Amino acid sequence: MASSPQYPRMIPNLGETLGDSGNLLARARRGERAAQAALFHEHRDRVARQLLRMTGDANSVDDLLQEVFIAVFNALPGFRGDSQLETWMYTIAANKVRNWWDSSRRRRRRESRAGEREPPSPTTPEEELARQRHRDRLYAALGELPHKYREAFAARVLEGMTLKEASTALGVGISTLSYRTRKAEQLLCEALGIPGRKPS
Amino acid sequence: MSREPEHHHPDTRFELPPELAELVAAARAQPLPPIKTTPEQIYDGWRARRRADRASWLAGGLALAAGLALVLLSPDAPLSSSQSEPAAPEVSARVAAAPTPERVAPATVTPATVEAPELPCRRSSPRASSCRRLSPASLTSCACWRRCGSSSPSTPGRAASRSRPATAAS
Repeated sequence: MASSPQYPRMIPNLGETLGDSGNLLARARRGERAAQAALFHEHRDRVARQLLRMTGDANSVDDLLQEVFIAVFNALPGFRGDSQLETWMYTIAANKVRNWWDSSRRRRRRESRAGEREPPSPTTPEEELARQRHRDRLYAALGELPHKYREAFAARVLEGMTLKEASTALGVGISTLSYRTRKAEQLLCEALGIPGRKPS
Repeated sequence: MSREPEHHHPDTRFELPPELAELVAAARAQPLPPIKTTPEQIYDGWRARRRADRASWLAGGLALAAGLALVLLSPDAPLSSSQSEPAAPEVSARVAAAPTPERVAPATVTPATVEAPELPCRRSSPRASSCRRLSPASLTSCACWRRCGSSSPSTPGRAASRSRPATAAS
């Protein structure tokens, strides 16, 4: 497929990527170490940023990154190229994050029951501390949302994808995605005690 | 669960309430942490995963093949030890080799039941379990029921309890 102008940010140089790295992909599929390393370097930062925005937990990014790339290389022989590689990897990462939220939510509930939540580091500057509080508040509320709403909100609002990009990446229709994003916003406002947007 | 409504929305950027927008901005501003993962770790992890997957496929395949072979090669599988005829000579030999007080009692029971005169089974079935479907009256004359009823040398009480209805009926 030729490079599509409607995916300028999410998939830069897609045509080049598929054209030039077709050979790279085939070699990685065969399990060639150097090809896999090249693919990893090419996509590492984008996947890491996605994982960070979806989880809000910088400490988990490395672990999740490993899981995602191992899963990607494991499933690479089955990748037929129906979708773009980036979209396919986004879906794999979203699934890993989904599992992470499940286990993370369980862990946090255990911790909150035991009252073991660690206080933030006292060495953090005030502004960063305020940001960190904002992030904690947002991700705590996001973690309580059903997967489908959280993923829609993360893709559209946190990742800043267009409706079409997010719809392709998450494998749902555009109108469904739009509804889920609005619903996620509404649920977040309720959970955070923020007055919601007035219906137009 | 209710069906999600289908409405077409223009692809406009999200306009969040200011307070939520502030939280989102803080989340978006979070810097990417330094990535410590190396391609070597990924490669090693991938190889280990592939090995584990192959091993589990192999184990599953072998188990399936063994199960199939068991079913196909022995359609008339031997009965379990509680239902089949007792391995009397084997037990006797072992008892003879090491006559402990615990084993003397079953050993004395086994020859007695083996030596009992055999009557023809009315069902003419080689399976002793079929005797259980016979009427209580016919059990007394069924040789394989007798064998089966006293087949477990280690549990003489069970043998006795099995023969109780037949005795009561007669």
